[in-house]
Amino acid sequence: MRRGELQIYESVLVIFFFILMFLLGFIFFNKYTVDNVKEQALKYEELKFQELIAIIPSMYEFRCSFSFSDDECIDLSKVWAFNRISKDYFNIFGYKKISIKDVYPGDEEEILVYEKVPRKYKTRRIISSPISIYNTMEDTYHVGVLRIEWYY
Amino acid sequence: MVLLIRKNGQSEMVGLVIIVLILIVVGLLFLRFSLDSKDNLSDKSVLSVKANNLINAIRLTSICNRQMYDAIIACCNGLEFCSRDACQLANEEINKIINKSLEEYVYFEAENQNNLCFSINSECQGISSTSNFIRNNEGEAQINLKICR
Repeated sequence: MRRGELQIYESVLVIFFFILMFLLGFIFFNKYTVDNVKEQALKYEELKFQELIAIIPSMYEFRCSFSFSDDECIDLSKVWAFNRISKDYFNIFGYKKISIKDVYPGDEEEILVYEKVPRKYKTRRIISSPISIYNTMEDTYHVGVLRIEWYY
Repeated sequence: MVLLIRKNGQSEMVGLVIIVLILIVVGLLFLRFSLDSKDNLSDKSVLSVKANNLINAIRLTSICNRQMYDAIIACCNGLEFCSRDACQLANEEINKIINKSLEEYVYFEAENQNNLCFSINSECQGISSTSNFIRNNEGEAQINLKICR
């Protein structure tokens, strides 16, 4: 083999090696970027999920509304009424189960607010927070635990 | 001689590349830890919401046809509530509420003009609720709650 041919083969080999390296780098970078975007999306969803413990008690669908009073509580009569139309709230809550448990001085009765569980899910996350609940029939305030389950 | 100088230069280049690689690894580690601290921030805000929700629930809870804040104010004024010592009653009932509604260790205190009326559990480091000022015809008080970490 002549020296010139050998140099051409060497150049081809170097170019091939660089293209291979470039392709590997591109595939790695692409996978890293896609994973990163997925992770960011999950973090955003998680943040939205955590925010629900602050958002739900202040939603007009549930919160107490008295004249000249700013008591932050959940009105049980509104919760019972909401139960009938809860399916319409899928766009807001998604695949979640939201319930309220009357823990003091009640008998730990669980009141279902919203439920939409997917047939298949990888994991489930739960977050809960104490809240004040107002019983319209008895005109009393109880302590409840708002429990939100997220399926994804 | 020329070959020796060239080899020496090459080894210096390799050393430089290793230093650059170490700097990149340190940078990536720093980025990772700075992202972790953001997660801690979100945990803190969740605990802060829980603390504020709990103190609000305690304040409003009905007891003997009145509300818990009436019992706390009665305690700060040294009065009876529901034919019982107001401080003992408030202490017992608030303890029950805390135990039933949160898994975390919680510190609760009620004070009137910087005088401690009563407290539940011992003082700790943690996430505090905003101070709640309570008032009725008998007087006023301030209640604070902290979720310990």
